[in-house]
Amino acid sequence: MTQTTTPKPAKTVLDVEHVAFLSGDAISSAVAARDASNQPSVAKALAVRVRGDRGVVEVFVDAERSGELLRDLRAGNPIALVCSEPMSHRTIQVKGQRTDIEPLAPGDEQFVGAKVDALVAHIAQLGYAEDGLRAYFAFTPSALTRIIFAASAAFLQTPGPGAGAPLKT
Amino acid sequence: MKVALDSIRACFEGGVPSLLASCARDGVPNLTYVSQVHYVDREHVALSFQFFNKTYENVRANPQAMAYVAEVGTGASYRLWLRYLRTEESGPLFESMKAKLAGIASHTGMSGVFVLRGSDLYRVLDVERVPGPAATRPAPRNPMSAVRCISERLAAHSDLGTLLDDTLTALDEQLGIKFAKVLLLEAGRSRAPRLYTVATRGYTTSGVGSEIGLGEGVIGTAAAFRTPIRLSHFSAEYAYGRAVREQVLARGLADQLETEIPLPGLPAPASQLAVPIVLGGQLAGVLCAESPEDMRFSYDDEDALVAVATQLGMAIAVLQQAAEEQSEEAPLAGEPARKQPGAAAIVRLYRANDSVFIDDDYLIKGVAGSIFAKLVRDYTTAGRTEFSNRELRLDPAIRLPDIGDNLEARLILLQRRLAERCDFLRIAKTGRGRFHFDVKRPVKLVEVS
Repeated sequence: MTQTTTPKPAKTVLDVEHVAFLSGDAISSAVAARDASNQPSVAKALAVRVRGDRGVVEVFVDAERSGELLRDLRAGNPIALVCSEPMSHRTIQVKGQRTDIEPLAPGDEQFVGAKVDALVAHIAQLGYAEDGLRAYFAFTPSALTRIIFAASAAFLQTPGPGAGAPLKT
Repeated sequence: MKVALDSIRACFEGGVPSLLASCARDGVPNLTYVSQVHYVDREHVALSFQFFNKTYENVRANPQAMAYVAEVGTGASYRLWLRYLRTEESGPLFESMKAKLAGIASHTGMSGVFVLRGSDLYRVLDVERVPGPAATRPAPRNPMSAVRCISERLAAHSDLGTLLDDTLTALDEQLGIKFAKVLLLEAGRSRAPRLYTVATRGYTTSGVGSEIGLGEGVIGTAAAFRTPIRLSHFSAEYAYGRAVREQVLARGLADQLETEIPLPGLPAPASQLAVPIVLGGQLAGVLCAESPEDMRFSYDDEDALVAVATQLGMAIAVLQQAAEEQSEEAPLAGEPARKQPGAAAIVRLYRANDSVFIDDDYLIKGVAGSIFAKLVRDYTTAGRTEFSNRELRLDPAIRLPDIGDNLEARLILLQRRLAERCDFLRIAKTGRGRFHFDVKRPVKLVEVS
């Protein structure tokens, strides 16, 4: 485990309420990075967890479904994470300057499985067929990868004229 | 491209929110949900630009972007490598996206929040399927075979009236479109250009003769910008029927309402698709379909309707030309008007807009109104009952806007309005470009200037 290598943010950008939102059971999320030429890459994320000190965020993706994202993050490039609650459209974007890519810790696979189950159940209530949602959020347990980063900035991104404003803590 | 863009159009129907990743010049990535990814052609998509945000800034500084889209139902997901080209703030693409966004906004409770500022056009450099499973769904009917059947039927007609009706019947039988109408353009002399309804299917009242201005609702927008307009959810903004009535009242023109035939339409259509009928580069009319179901019409349906509307436009022109070229001269004087039983019906022609009333009941206005006045005038003064298209075309009193104007369609409109509104006057075709005016009660023409 090399968790201690992730730098601590100088200032906390997420407050208790933001952490509660990001840790919710009905949050659909995705991550973006970019390569040396500033070509963006993007992948769906399966689950998000914020560590107790509120500064460090863990995101789980399926490496086989992540395209160039992990390559771009391993090259030391910054990350953008977007988390949205489908029912309310409430959305937050969190950014980090660099990431660590780690294997899963004990219990992580169960954590991701439970998060995906809860999210599928939430979206199914909006009238979507469950088999399609399962395909959309599909993952192979052996391909699960953990991305860890210190939150350096966070923005409100709920659709509307206020989208893009820095989160107030 | 690894995957053809036109093979994944179902991803752009809006069922699953799409993502767009961009990157600032300083290398900070940005990720956002987008309300609408619009399929433009096999190499381009357009994204809705609603707010001045980081994406807006980023793509103008660094045009490289990536979208992540998925097909609702199967969950199959794709990555699109994009290059930002430009933003369109008016025109056909903008209007198509604006209408679609109004439906999306209304469906998601975002009316008044989602307002289109521009259509951001991107070139699609590559499309990649995200590895993983997809749920299976029954394949929809192949629209090509439906279009082929409709096309063969259209080609078989030699009469404009049956062509129009059978087009709508064929859309129902082949594509399951239960509610549809054809409107044609009246280019206008003193009046602004209008579309008038000439054939409908599925509605409780035919609404033939109803009119709508260019730019009003789904149909008027499709006409004004000569572009297909497709809404997948109800939008009050584009529910034209009531809106038109309210506009008329708001302008203090309540007296005009008696000459407003209600446009036939579903009271709250969940899906609407209007495609322009264009001929020789000019707008000729609009073919419009609607449904009470959400997301009823797909990109494939839009393609099918555009193909049918194009063929319909050509067929209308061919039949119009044939009717005039083969038009035989009609005898200028007929039998003196036979003494008909009963009191004379008063036909009033208001010359300001050529609106016609029979015993105070509104019949029709515009070109069809002035044609009707000529028939009544020639009947009452010379006893004529046989007429030719050619003489109507040449009559200065009718003042047809130009040679491309569809006289044959006006006669069908007039024939249908009479059939619906009057039991003693009738128009019956007697040959190519010839018709008989059948009068079963005395009539008197009063012209009001």
